[in-house]
Parts: sequence; C-alpha cells; structure tokens
Amino acid sequence: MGGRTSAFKLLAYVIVALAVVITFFPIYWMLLTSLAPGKEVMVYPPKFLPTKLTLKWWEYTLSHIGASLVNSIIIAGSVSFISTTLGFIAGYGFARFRRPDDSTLFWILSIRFMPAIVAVIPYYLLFNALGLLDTYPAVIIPHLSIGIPFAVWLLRGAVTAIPKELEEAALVDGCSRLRVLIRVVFPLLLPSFLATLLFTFIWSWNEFLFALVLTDVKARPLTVAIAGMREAHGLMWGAVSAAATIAALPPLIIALFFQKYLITGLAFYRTKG
Amino acid sequence: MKLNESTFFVLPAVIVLLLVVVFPLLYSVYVSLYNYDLLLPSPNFIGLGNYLEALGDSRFIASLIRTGELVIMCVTVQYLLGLLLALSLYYHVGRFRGLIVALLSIPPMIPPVVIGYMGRLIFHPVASPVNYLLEVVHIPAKPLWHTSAQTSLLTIFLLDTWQWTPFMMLLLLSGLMAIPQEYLESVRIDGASPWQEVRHVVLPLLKTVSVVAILFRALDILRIFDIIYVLTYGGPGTSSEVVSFYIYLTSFNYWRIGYGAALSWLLTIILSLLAMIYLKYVVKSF
Repeated sequence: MGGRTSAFKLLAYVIVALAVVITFFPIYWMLLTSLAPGKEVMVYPPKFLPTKLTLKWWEYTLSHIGASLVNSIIIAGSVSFISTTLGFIAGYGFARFRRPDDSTLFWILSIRFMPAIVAVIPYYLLFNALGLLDTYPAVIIPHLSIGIPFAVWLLRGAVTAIPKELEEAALVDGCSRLRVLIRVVFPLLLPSFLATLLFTFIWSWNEFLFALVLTDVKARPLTVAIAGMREAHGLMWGAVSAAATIAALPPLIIALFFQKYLITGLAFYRTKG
Repeated sequence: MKLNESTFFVLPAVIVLLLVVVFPLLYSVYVSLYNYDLLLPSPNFIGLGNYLEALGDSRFIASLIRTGELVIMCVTVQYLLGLLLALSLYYHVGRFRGLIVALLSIPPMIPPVVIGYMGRLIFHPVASPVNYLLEVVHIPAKPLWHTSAQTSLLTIFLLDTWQWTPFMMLLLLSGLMAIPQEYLESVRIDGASPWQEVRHVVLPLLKTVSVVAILFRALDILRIFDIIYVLTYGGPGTSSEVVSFYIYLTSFNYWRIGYGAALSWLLTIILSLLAMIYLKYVVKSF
C-alpha cells in the first residue's frame, strides 16, 4: 500500500512538472526571441540559450508601438473603472433587494456569452454613421457590454457575503442608503472591488475583435498593433516578440502578484458551484 | 419603498446595457433583413433572404462543422488534462501547491493574439523548436503545423489547450478543495481504495463545477477568432476557417454586412440552443 502511494506521488509530481515545463517553454521562447541577436533566432537547429542578449528589439518596438500601448492603457483603464463602478452599484442593488433568480440579473449575466461577431457588425455601422470609428469610445462602448455584466455578477456575490446587520445599524442612525453604500459597504468590499478592476482591465486589454474592426491607426490598442505587425514586419521576429511580450506583461504580473484577487475572480465561474 | 430603492441601484447599469447592447443588437436584426452590401449603392429589403441563403451556403456549414470539431477536441482534452492535474495537485502536492497554481494560472491571462503569435514562433515551418525536440526523441514526423491544411486545426487545438487547460484545472481544484474532509475520511475508514474514492465519491461531487467549466469553455471555443486571425487567417485554403472568422470575412472583407449580420444571428441562436439543451440535459441527470 505504502509503495503504491509513493508511486502515485511520483507520477503526480512528474505530471505537474511536465505541465510547468510545457507552460513555460513558449513564454521563454518568445522572451528569448525578443532578446537574442538577429543571427540566433529562427535558425535550425534552434539555439535554446543565447550567446548574448540585446535590447535592440525592445527599443525599436517601444518607439514603434508606444502609441498603441498608451491606447491600450486608456481603453482598458476606462472600461475597468466604468464597469466596476456601475457593477458595484447594481451588484449592491441585486444583492440586497432582488432574489438570486431575478430575471434582470439572468439577462445581464447572459450578455457575457454573446458572440462578439454579432455585436461588432451593428457597432461598425452605427459608429461609421456617427463618425466615431477609430476613437476611444468606439472600443470602450463595446467593451462595457461585457465588462458591466462581469462586474455586476462578481460584486453582487461579494455583497451577499457581507452581513446585513452592519448596514442596518447605520441606517437606524439616519444615514441614507447611498451614504451607507459608500461609507460602510465600500470599505468592506475593497478586495472584491480591486479584483473586479483587475479582471475587467485584463479582459479589455486582451480583447481583439471589437478593437480590430472599430479602430484603424489612431485609437488602435496593442492587440491590434501586434496582429498588424504580421504583414508589415514579416521577418522582424525580434520586434514582434518584444511587442507580444509587452502585451502579455500586465496579465503576467497580475497572475503572479495578485493571486488572491485572481481566486476571487474565479468565483465568477463558480456561480452555481 | 423597497422596489423604488432596488430600481434606483439597478437602473444605471441596466440603462447603459440597454444602450450599448440591446440597441445595437436590434439594429443588427434590422440589417440582417436587408441586402446590405457596402460595395453596392442602396440596400433593399429582402426579408429572410439572407437567412435562406445561409442554409445553402456550404462554406458556412463547413465552418460550423469545423468549429464543432474544435469544440469537441478542445473541451474533452482540456477537461481530462485539467482533471488529471487538479487531482495530482490535490492529493500529492502539498508544499508547492500555491506556487504551482500561481504559475499555471498565467496562460489563461495572456491575450489570445499573443498566443497565436507564440504559435507562429514555436511551430515555424523551418525553425520550429518543437520539431527539433521531435527529432531529438527520434520521431520521424516533421509536421508543418499551421502552414499545412492537414494540421492547421490541430495546431489551433494545441494552442488553445495550452492556454485553457490551467483554467479547467483551477476550477476543478477549487471544487476539490470545497469537499468537506469528513466525507473523504469516512470513506477511507470504510476501506475504499484511492481509485474507488475518486471514482465514487470525488467525481460525483465535482459534477456541478464540471458542468459550469465545460459550458464556459464550449461557449468560448464556439466564438474562437483571435488565434486564428493571427496564426492562419483561416487557411491554408479554408482548412482552419471557423464560423466567427467566416462571418468576419463576409462582413469586413467582402463587405456583405447584411448577410454577415444574418450569419451572426444564426451563430447566436445555435449557441443559445446548445447551452440550453446542455444545461437541461445535465441538470436532469443530476
């Protein structure tokens, strides 16, 4: 029995170690391609360790996609802030005054599953008519359609976990609901609020289809800029690798340093669990 | 009184969503009834003409089937691998579990566009490090990955699996950690083998979280677009043209916006039906 258990343990460690290696290799390879000198990338047999490192491609990339980087930050920042604020207020309303099987709540949640392609067509026509194509609102507005449902759901769950008595004491003391929301509920919800900010930020930062169709050059975020490098810089593997690494950096940092909030965010997927 | 308060809190989000979701979607239904072509002068009302055309559009049907194949491959493999990883971590990895979970949770956070680009690097037809590793372990095959019509869909499956298996693992692990320890202890006292414990106690308790995880993943893959745009652009030929990509080309390359809108509604209807059938069937079998 003991022998079998340790055999299982060994097998489990091998499986997990393999998963870690497979997870890391492509990320390492991309980083390597962005830092290695031109002669050492895209060769066969491949070089798994560079002889020296260069920041040439990083400098080149930052000077070429700097504007897209700023666009991504502005768009994702706005989406994250607006979604989380509206989601907080609505989430509170649903948690305190509506039943869990409320039909409005279900409707809001189901929007999360809407295929982007069905919405991007009317957005394109409408923004074209309004002269809004290739502006920040042209990306922010569609992103809100996913960001708000996400925020409502996460924060509704978080409010449900807070005991009602705390608010009732303040209400008895003559505070208005809105004051209670800001002074009593908000401080208690801060971790979930931050988690929601992070998740909606990353979602918007990663999004591609809306941004691809609704922007051109001026408002283009990082994801679209990288996809565009496909043709324009077909052979500049180092430059594209550096750009892709930059785009992957915020999610990476959040995954590593904000583990706690990430787990909170997962609650979204465990709604019925 | 209560009703007014609830409306006051819920209303802002609902109004914004009505404006940014419902209004565009209604407009899309309207457009789908027109022969709306941005390369032609004025659109004509053609009723359900676009929808009827879609039923006979073999390229659309093929893209749907291709997407279905991708959903089945991805969901099955990702679920099984995720389960294997979650069980391994839960039963045998104690000390480093937190660290490993943190490391493995990176791929789902990375933009799919970046994943598609990563695919271009590691599956490059000439300089692929993966093919080099195959050579080192004496596997004679030298696949052309995304640049061959035979393996393009497989390559997308591999990349999607790389990205999303950790997501399955995270959900299943959180399901495992929610199982009360007393359950498992009493089973062990009754003399159940580890296999019996997993098969008859743990797996049934994971049913709910499994249903949710599989549903989320299936709905995501039904809409897959980003990786394909970057990696294969639907090709070679139409070998990796999934339904979202075909609708994208129809609307924004061939500029047949009315027809694209109709196709996108058919996709949405299929998606909703599948989700409903799945949930109904699974909930019944509980």
